[in-house]
Amino acid sequence: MSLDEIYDAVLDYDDEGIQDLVRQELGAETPPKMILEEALIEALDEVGKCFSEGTIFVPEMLMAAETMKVGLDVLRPLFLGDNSTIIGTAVIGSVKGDMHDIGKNLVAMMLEGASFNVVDLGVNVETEAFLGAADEHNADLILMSALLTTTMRAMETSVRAIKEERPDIKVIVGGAPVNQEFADAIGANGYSDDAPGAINLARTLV
Amino acid sequence: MTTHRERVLMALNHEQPDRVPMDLGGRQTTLSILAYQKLKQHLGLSDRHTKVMSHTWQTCYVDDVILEKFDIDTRHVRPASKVNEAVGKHLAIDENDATFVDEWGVTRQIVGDYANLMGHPLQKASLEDLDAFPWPDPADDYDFKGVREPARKLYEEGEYALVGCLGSPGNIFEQAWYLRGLAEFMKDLIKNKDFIHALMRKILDIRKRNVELYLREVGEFIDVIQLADDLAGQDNLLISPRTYQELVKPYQLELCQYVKGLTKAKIYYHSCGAIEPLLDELIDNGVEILNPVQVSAANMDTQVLKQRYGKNLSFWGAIDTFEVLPNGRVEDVEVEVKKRVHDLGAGGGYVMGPVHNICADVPPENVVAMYEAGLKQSLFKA
Repeated sequence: MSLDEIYDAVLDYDDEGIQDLVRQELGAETPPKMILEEALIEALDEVGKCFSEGTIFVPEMLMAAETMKVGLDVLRPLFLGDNSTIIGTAVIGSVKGDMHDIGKNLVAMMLEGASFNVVDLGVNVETEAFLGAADEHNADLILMSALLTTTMRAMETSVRAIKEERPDIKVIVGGAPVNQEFADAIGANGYSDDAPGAINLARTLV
Repeated sequence: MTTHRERVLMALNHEQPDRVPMDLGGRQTTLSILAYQKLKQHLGLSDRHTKVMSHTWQTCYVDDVILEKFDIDTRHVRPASKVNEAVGKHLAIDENDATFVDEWGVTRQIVGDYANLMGHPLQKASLEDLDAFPWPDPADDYDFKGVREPARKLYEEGEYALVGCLGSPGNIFEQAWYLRGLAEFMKDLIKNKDFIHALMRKILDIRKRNVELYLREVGEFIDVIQLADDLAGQDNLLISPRTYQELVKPYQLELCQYVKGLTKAKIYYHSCGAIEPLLDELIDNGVEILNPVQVSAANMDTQVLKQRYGKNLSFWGAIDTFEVLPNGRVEDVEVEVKKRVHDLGAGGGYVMGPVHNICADVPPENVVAMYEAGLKQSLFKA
């Protein structure tokens, strides 16, 4: 069963072999959507679960997300014009003054893997940039990260401004000093303490 | 009467001192420039000069007047950085956007209390590129000769415990990813192990030269020597224990053993975060003191740490900079100090200080409260 092999390739971080496996599966006329959902996304969910449980670590998580992305590259052209596989559009970035991006990058890669259209604005992102990108890409979600206690204030400013201007867009916040209480206090729609949790949350919010 | 030095040494030898020893003004236990300015103002000492310790970390030295005021038990022996002078051969600063390139060729930008990483010179490098890379020579970066006389003088006076800082943090793992970029480095740990080994070896050799240059001047005078290498995040290790054992430990072990061959000073090792799962490894490397004991991270319960590792390890730091110092009231700070001294200080084995360099979000009143509370923590009276 080649779907299992694709699933295993993600779990084995086989970024060199996965494209061939996906092509073989397509050659066997398995629908691309099935490959995405039953092999790639399932594998990433498993990896996310292990990460949350603390049995795998950042290197493994990054390699799995990377492997999945490489596999997804083969499928992506087949989904062009077919929006049924895209769950939603997410704008993501580290807040103003914050240059840290490893956690944010993990979330972005996993979101992409989980079939979101992701617009990654990088680090040190101003409120206007979040709003501008959300308008331009017709986003459903904005995800914000802050690693420092000192940049949590910028997060608060951005979330409040976004909720005022575009109450329809859901905002998810995360990062080491952030917690549910803070997220609630500043009016965010959700908070997660790790990347897999953020992906699950994103799925429920769109 | 116990001298400051005796107090610290008793604690580090796991004997009960008269009160908890206290540290301030070291590599990981000082203030950010912004926080220091607030503290000076609060103490009516605004006219005292602010001397920058690390451009990279935006930290500064603490004036002796303040150290004496707080009755701090340590003094730090740190070679001046030549590159801090901004005319050093490596350090190029763009005044407009506060970016600079450090001695390793890593681009950083100062934002508030931090200098953030912006560019990684080895991001695209292959194994073959490593030899040609312009590796820094610690002799160019620090004034080792200049540190000998002040250290000797402090040693002969015998008043304070002397804490040695190499100039650099002595980090290998972190320096490797600064050079490579974190994401790339993390992937290398799985897919590009030869590159990792070669990179770690290059950095280790530079650290060993740093150790040798430094300890040749002050090895006989210092009581503690600091090494630092962050291996953990808020919730867990950054890498698995297996990855640590295979790709990081051999280099850290070699560095620790090299240090031990050149000085009797106790090895103080700094790693932020949830480092508990690696403590046995660190003890095996020769680490005797753990800093900063980041109490806000997972599985860093001070009671448990003391019970599990207290025989082999002393703890240094542990006053919470995450919640209590920035957001707490003076009374909360006192409760925090009491708890940490109670958890970690029984039978010695604890030197009190902030978990992290104190940043500008900490009110100066809380800094004062921390050390005043420390002074009251006589364990004999407990």
